[in-house]
Amino acid sequence: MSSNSGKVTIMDLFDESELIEKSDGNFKTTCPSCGEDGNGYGGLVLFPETNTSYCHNSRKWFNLKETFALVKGIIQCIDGRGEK
Amino acid sequence: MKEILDKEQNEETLKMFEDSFGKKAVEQLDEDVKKHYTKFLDIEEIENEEDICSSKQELNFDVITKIAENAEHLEGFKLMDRDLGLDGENYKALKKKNYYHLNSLRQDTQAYAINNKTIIDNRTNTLVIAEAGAGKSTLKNQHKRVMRDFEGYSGIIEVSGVSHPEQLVGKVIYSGRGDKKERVEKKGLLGYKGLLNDESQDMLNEKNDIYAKSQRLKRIGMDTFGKNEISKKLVDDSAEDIMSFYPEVRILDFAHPEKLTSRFFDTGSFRRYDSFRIDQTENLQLESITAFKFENEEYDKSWIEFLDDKYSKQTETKFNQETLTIISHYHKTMLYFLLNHKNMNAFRYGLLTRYSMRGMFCTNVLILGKSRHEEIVSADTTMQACADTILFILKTIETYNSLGNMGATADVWGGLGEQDAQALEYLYKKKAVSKESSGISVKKFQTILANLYGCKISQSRSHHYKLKRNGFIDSAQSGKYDSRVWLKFIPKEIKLNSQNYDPLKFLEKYFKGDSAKNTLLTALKSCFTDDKSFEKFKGDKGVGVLGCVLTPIYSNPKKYKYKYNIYTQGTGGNTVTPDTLEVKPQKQGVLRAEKQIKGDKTLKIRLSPLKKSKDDFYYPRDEQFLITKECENIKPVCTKIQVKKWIKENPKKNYKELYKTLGTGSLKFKNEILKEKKK
Repeated sequence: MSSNSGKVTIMDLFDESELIEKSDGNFKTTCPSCGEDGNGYGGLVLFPETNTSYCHNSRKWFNLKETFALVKGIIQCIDGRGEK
Repeated sequence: MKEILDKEQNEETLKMFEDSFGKKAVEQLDEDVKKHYTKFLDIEEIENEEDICSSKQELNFDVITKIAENAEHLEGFKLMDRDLGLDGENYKALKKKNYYHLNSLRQDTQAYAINNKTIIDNRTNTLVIAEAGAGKSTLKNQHKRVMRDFEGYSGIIEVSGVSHPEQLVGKVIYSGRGDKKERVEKKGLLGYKGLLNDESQDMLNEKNDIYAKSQRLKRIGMDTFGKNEISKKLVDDSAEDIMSFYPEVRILDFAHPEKLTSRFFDTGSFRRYDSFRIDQTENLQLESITAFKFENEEYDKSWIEFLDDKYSKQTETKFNQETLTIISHYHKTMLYFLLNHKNMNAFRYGLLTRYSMRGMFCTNVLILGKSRHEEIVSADTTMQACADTILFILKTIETYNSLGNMGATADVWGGLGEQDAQALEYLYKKKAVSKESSGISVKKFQTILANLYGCKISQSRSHHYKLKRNGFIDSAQSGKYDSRVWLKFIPKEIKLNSQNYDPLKFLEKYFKGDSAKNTLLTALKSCFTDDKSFEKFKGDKGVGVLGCVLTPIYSNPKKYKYKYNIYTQGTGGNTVTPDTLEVKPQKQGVLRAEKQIKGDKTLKIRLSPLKKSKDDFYYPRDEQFLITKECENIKPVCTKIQVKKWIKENPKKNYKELYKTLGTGSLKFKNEILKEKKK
């Protein structure tokens, strides 16, 4: 599941078919916690460059580990980090 | 960085992560987080940091001010206190200042040119910062009572809130017509001898142009008499019609405890006042608050009659060389103390008043000398007035320290506003003076600016760029994910050349008896609980100031025991006379030292015998065990023989294991066995 370099990236946490590529090079998908979808504006935005994600609905940030916990349902998106 | 996952969540996440990606991936996870999330780091660090720009070192003036509050030497102080009718520890310093202020009001204004540099007068100004119900009206009413016989310009006037500049100056009116036309001068508020100004906080902070103008006129009014002419010329006034006068005003300003802004410090208003902040007492004593009795003490005259008698004739007072020498010493000691102080406000106050402080001492010496009708001020009077001035200065610094920040004034930071100056001060404190030495990222600096301006981080960028554009700071990217901000404008560092100044040496000659210095040092030491806090105080250069305050009391204890002046300190307090002073400071010292060295080991001196001589304080552990009351009911659960046997069987095991195995009493027996062995 890991990328070619052998290192886990934020993209590895999601199924490729779930991801939508944005015009700025980042990706968006449905937030596993609140269900906000990535169609149009919203959803969970993934930033591969910094391995972070951002939920538009809860306005919270997550690092790689926290995004994994989000995907696995260990935390909810409202538990994320506040202002960037 | 603050974690949002709790311990269980973290463990669960890592376990699942390991299951999905393997052990190696987990190890890389932490590295990845550290590398990529500097953005998060910046915010978290600042949230946890306690000293964002507002850290103030402790002043620790308590030891000095408590002793300096002694008012034994002020004739008629008790009458003044009774007439005022305010009770409480917090008012002591203010009452003393009030004594000087009221005396000054009743004295004829005397300007005195001591030399070409120093021209002083006997006028004094007071700023009282207090919340509602703290006795402001009581104070005002006393001033009005004292001045009730004086109407017109030699009287007193009270104004509330802001006064318009024109009201302060006055105007010229013309009565009659033609040849009978007469010019009549109507002086404004500054023409009165006493001015009580309520709600003056907005004027002090110069919130708008009108307030700034009024405060400027007040500042001129408070300058030395004879050098502070206030004049006003209307467009159609001819040269001889200009209205001008030298104000003789003594201003008593009242303000609510609002923050004192940099305008107050930049313009120099702060130098004109002795300021006192009246707080609520920390320890409210129900008994003393509710005590409701008739007064048993009877006095043959009131405070006003006392003043009437005293000032039925006035004396022109002069200084001699000894007076100047003493004032010079007090001035030097005070500056030595303040310019070495770690608190920024105390240091800045010393720096900004380094010349005018001499005037503060002289003014109070002149007022006290005139009140005692001394034609040439005596050494005792000089030292007492100087000691009182020290109290006023220290109380003023305490007030400014609680309500303002003198370190962030515009003159230090190249004319910048308060928020910018504080942000630069933060960089300076963190030693961010070059790209290499700086540890502050752009994001962090912007967060600080956002905190200070009360805006969003994104909005604080404009303040950052403005500082960069004006050449105060510089910033650059450092690597891919990091950045640095550093200072380009470095404020001047001031170094004090004191040439091994010993503040106690001068005071020796004012002590009667043998080994004067020892007498003084004994008195000084009695103010502290232990040597360590005394040494610390010595290191703060505070010992010289304390000596200056103690000397006038110790050197001549019985001379100034006035008839109306058996002074009881506060309600429910002990009566303090010069004879009992030797005991009194000890109590104050204990109180202060407990506060000052909270959590310090020195207070537990009996349990740390190595710090003191062994003969005095050493308590062996087993003796403690037997003597201490708490241990009375604890009885050993093992015998000495059992312990001996265990030690023989387990020679390599330590005492913890001995205690675990045999329980209470085992260590006591072990010590006894060891002692026996040694014998």
